[in-house]
Amino acid sequence: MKLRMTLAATAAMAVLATGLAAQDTIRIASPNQVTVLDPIISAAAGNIEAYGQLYARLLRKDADGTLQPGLAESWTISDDGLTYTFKLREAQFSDGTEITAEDAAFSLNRVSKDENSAYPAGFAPVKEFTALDDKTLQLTLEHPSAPMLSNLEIFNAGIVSKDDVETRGEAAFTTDPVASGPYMVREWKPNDRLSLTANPHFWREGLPKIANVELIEVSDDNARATMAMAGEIDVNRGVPWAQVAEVDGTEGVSVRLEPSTVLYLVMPNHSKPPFDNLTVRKAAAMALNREAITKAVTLGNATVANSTLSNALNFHDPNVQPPAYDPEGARKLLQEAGLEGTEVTLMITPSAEQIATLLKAQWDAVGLPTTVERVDAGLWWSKLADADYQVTTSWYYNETEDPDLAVRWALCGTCGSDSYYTFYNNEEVNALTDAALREQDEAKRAELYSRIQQITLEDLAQIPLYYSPFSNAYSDRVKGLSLTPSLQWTLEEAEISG
Amino acid sequence: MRVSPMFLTGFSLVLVWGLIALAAPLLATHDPYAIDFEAILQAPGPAHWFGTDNVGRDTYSRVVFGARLALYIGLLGVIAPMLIGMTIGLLAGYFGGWVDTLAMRLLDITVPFPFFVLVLAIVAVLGPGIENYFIALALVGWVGYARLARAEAVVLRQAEFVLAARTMGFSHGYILLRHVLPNALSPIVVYMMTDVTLVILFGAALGFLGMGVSPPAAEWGVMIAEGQSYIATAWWISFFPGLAMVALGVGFALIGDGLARMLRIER
Repeated sequence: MKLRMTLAATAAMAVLATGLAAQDTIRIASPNQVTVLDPIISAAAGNIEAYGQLYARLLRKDADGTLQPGLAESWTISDDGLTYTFKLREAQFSDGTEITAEDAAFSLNRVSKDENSAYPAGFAPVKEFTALDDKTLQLTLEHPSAPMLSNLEIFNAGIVSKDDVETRGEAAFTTDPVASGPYMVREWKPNDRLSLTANPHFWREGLPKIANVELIEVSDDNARATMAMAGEIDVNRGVPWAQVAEVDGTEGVSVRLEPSTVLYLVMPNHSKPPFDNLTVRKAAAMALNREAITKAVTLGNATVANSTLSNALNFHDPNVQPPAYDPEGARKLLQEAGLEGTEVTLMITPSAEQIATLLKAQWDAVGLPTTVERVDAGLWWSKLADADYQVTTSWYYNETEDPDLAVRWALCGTCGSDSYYTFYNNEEVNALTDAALREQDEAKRAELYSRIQQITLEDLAQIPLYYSPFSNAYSDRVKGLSLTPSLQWTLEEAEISG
Repeated sequence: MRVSPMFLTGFSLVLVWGLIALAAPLLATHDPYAIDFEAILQAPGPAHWFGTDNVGRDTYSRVVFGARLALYIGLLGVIAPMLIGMTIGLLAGYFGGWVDTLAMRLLDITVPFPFFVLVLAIVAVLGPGIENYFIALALVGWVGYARLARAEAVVLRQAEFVLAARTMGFSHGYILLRHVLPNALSPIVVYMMTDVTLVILFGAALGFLGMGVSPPAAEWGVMIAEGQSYIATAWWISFFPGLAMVALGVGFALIGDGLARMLRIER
């Protein structure tokens, strides 16, 4: 009898233990691959989403997006805006060693200057990071940069352990790097999952609340949606528009549309006929019923874009508009310029098939007979960068809410990416981009960015289509988790219940 | 010769599809390429019998027009491989010797690769499109015909009427065309019917993979691919072209089986 009771008790305890373990793990399925754990090497979405969990930054963002002290507990900025002095707090890496100003200077110089740094744009004005003492970090700039602080919060500005990187080198990043963020690596199976466990030395007391995180890679949209509905995962990153209603209608699961800086756009190649001609760009824009396209593609889940910048960015101007939908006007414009019947080749990747069908139908209709050229993603990038295309369609997002990096990426012709390889190059816009970066006064910056949006819409640098939110599905057991516009899971404060 | 019911069923099925393809403009209720922003992802109903796709095109009309492409691909796609294969096979079997050796080595080179993998590879090199699919088929598909034709020719070479023709001094060309070919034809025709099914299915598979007919063409494989991401919510986009493909494929397969049975009885 006694034996039996013990057995029963053991069984009960075993059940309890597994139950607890399961509650302590959150399973997030995403189509985006984790390919490298070194925060400076990649700017691909899957890596960005993982970096945030492993590496803490000098600053952090709270739920409403305002900057808060992170590893730096305070800072001062010199009057000329050229010198930043950060006071670091008492904090440890996951191996228990102290996080020093030396580590911070090493990490941030690495992202700013290392030739392998994938996305150094936000650190372009940096002259140097230096450790003045154990806990004091000094940043000197070549010229003032208004978004410098918010750029120190993005995914690649995480602090890594200088010791670890110098002793183990890249090997550290292929298995279990020393972490400074809320989580550290328990096991990494590339192409399958990244298993994380709470970092016991994380500087924020009592956080994270969830003990384990599984970042699972599931590339098929339908498979992920099915897993979410069956309760096999707690979070589904990216619910296809067609399935939002169905997934949301499932008991215990809700879909949230979360603000993002994602902008879908049509990209004309300004370096080649026919889109080097403003009349053609204008007719192409007037031919498009952007409202109907948005509704058809996102089933009404996105907002029609009014500007060349995302509405989630600071200084987005709500009062500008691209040319209105007017197919007759477009045809007349082409006729008057003797351009009716100009043949157009639209280059797309397979994922843009639906948008391409809609663009083709509407361009055909106004006298821009369109041929669709299909290429794979790799070829798309190389043809894009070589200016070997006429027009294409794509999207991009911005890492911060400050528009500086977005403008540099997509609208400035002399900032490295040739206006997202559309080769749009307007000297006034280039000059405004630089002025807006250096301007410290908020109201004046807003004016400068407004002007940039006006000019780029008049020139039709690009034809903006729509602002797309993230659509993620969450199990009702998960509380306090969201994906920020800069692609960071707010896992450190999230909770999961039974 | 008794007409087998299997053959009749298959023949009627294919005949019906042939009529649908011919009368497509009359049967279709909508323009298969017309985009309708007001009717996106509508379920099957009185306005759209098979529903609409993600840009509001009528699935029923697209399936009907798709029959044209499917038959065009299937029937045209087998001609080149058949002609090439038959010629090589007959020559190899009839003449033997080094002609045979050469033909068989050529066959050995082609056979080890899985049929579809080789077709895919060739199309990938030449670029997507129906013409390139036909070229790939011609390069790869002749093997089956060549084997059959050779086997027949080897036997016929020794047949009395062929030997008689030889002794009467007829040329090789005349004998091949008048005596060997007609007698070797039946297994080839039977095989061709099965091949039509394969060619249609592979054509659709290529369309699905984005390497065959290009969107927005009303091609069944392309349509199935377009509906793939809506399979859980708007099943009709992929379902109806899939069903159509099964119906046509079964038709040709039944013709092939029926013919085989009938010819065997005659023999």
